[in-house]
Amino acid sequence: MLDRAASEIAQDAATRPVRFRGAGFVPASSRLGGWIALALVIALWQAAGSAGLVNPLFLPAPLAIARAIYQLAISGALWQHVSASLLRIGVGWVLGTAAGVAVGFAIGLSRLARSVGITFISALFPIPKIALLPLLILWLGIGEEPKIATIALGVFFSTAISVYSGVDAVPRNLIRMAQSFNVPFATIVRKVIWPGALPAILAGFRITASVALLLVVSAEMIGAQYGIGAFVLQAGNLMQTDQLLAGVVILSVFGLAVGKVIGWLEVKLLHWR
Amino acid sequence: MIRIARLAVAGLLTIMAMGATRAEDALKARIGVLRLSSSAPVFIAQDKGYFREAGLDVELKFFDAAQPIAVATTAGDIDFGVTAFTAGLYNLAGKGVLKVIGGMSREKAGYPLIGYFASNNAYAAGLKTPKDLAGKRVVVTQVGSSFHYSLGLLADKYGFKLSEVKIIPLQSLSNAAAALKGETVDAALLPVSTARKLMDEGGAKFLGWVGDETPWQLGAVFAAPKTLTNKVLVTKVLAALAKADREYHDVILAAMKDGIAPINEKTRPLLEIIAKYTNLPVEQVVGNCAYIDPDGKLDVKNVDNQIKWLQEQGFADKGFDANAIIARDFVKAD
Amino acid sequence: MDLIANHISHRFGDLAVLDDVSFTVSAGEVVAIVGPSGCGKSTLLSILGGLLQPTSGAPELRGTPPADSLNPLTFVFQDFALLPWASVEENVEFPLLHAQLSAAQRRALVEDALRRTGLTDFRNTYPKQLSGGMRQRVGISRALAVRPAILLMDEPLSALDSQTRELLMEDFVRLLADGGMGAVYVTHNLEEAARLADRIVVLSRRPGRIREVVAVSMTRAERGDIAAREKLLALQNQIWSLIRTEAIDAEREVQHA
Ligand SMILES: Nc1ncnc2c1ncn2[C@@H]1O[C@H](COP(=O)(O)OP(=O)(O)OP(=O)(O)O)[C@@H](O)[C@H]1O
Ligand SMILES: [Mg+2]
Repeated sequence: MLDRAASEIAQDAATRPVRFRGAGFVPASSRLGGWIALALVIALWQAAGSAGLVNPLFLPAPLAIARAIYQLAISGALWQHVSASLLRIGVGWVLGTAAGVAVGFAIGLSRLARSVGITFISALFPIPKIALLPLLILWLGIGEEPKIATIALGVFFSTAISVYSGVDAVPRNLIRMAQSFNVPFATIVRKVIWPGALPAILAGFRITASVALLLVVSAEMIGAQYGIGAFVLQAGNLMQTDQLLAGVVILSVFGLAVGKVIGWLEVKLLHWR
Repeated sequence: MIRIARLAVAGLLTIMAMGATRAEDALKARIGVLRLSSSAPVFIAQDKGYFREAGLDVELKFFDAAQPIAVATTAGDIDFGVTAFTAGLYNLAGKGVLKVIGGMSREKAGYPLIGYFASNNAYAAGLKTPKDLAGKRVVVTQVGSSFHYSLGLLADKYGFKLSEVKIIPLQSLSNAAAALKGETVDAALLPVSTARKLMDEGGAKFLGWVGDETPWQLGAVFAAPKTLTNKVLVTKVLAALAKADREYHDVILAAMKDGIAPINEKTRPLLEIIAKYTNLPVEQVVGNCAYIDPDGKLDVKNVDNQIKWLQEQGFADKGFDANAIIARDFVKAD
Repeated sequence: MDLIANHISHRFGDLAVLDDVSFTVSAGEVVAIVGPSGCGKSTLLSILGGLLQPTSGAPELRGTPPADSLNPLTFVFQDFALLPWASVEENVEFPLLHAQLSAAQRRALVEDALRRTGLTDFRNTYPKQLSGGMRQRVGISRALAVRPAILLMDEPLSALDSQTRELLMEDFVRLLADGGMGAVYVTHNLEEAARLADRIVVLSRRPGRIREVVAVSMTRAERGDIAAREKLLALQNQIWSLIRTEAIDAEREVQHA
């Protein structure tokens, strides 16, 4: 038999609420908020432009930029520029990523590769790729190869670094667990280390995708006829600021699209987090 | 007591302030230039005190590319710009935010500035004269640049179409030199300073100088319209520059032989000034002297031709000509 | 199959952790290892399971494991060591992937292991969705799937709250009841040792030596009775008195860098 203790609220004295003091410090990002802010900034910008508050040469209004993009689109040049750049970015990114993942895993798994690899990466990563352009031209000419190589190089280093940090971050206890079940090395790499490193690798992709977009402008310094980077460079050289910003807008749209794709990949592949 | 001290301080401050205003009476001007010998008269006028004699307090601002000078002038960061014409400069001028007020360097026969250079392979394969550039792959730094325009003039002269030439913009001189040395292109237009090093290394073959083939007005002095309202200032600056133009022409240009200025007691002082401002040894300066009209004249006809050419190529906005961008009050035409 | 600790000593650099530890775990026997904090219990278990090379001495096996055993020495980890990206079923299946088994055999083993730990309805859940107790059940299920001869358990319950611990304790009693499977059970908790073990190895403070080996002379089934409570408590007190002073010393020890 259990003795029941009283559990009702005693009514005899006045009560007062305990003040809530746990508010704040949980920034939740609102989907709509970002777009509204963006729309507001664009509207203000357009208003300032229309009212003649800013010199259109220094800061073309959104409508002028939209017009430049539209004209580019109807002339058919937009597609030529975009496809040329996408090809370079795509091929360069894939090559750089493949090499970076391979080297990153080697560094994460082998002592020899680690000591050699980290030294080389630390020495070579900080070199601005633009400084290497003359060398790339000497080695690879002025065709597609040096352009792709510029992007691939930039992507390679960031990827290698994020992959090996990812491999390092795989909990050791999971590897010990697999070893305790006599799981072979290759299976451990495939089933434990790869998925364990995947969050860091995908986070790395976010960065390398932006790096590829940044570098497309440098890459297309090398005698490109078409390409968003070449277009931006030419617009800059000719002081056609509306065209310049049109190119920049197209690049940011690329960036947004790539961000979305990677976000989608993260949801698909990292649902377990 | 304190009150008296305060009064004394206030009085002192007033006197100092008056002094300051008086110093400001000397007209102030900021001039943007490149560290190239094509701005030699600016360096001479500054170093020999011609600006100061004219009652000017001039500050030189150094840039490393032509375009930013034009932009800085429209933005009001500098009052005068001295540099080469570029498509970007014309586009700014076409919008009315820049005016050309005087001439500076020129491509002229006998004064090496920009040259045509062939890669060793292309040379061996028969690219021996500028005329042969038709149908070749040619590097320029940027579309719409001086190099590009020079090539356009060459096409007109020899009656081939510029579209027959495959133009490759590589954005920088070092990239262009690398492409030529690496045999990935047939030819390049390069300034004498870059080309000389390349030829010494055996990395390229000389085809000719632009000045010998198609003389044209390469550089100018320009200012923002707001600066032009200060007529006294502009006149004084141009007068000081004209004095230096004349001296540079008579002392150095007149003595030049085979594109090289002699080093003697007459030329040395000026060469040393140029060497100082361009950070080059005197021995290099002598082969690097741009032609400048002794009276600071501007080849207006050629400027108009440049604008037309850029407009045809789609590099400059339509609807303006030389007259629209030249400050008639100041420019002395050829 | 017996597991033998044969004069095992171990040092981490200058730090002597185990000193000449010898004992035998006979087939089907449950041996608990207790001792003060930091005396080398986990180190000893890793050495026994072949995950760590001892400085001297060696872990040895005598006799053949049961024919159906895929991994005679199998660990159950304190932190469960589950693959977070794999479902319950995939986690249990993980150690079977590289074994020479037909798909049907593998299915059957997984099915059986899930059933024995009551996880059948949770096969498609992911570790993060499970409570601590359920997670450790997945760890146990994974261990059972490979038909171990001896389970090596390093404080398998210490990450759990006391009520969950009680529930899993009952599971262990059930799983170890038929005597087919032996275990080495490392714990801080003397009650767990007394409830589960046939013998309790008491280690001294670091470097760990065997202080005493205490036999528990009751079947595991008997120990659940109220009547056995007092005897078990007496046993716990006896062991506690053996390690109490050492535990005090161990606690006051300043960790060297
Ligand atoms: N990899 C290692 N390198 C160096 N020292 C270690 C290592 N692992 C454990 N030690 C040290 O060895 C000693 C024994 O560690 P061990 O984990 O085996 O003790 P334990 O008895 O399991 O302790 P606990 O009761 O806290 O679980 C401790 O002092 C620990 O700090
Ligand atoms: Mg331990």
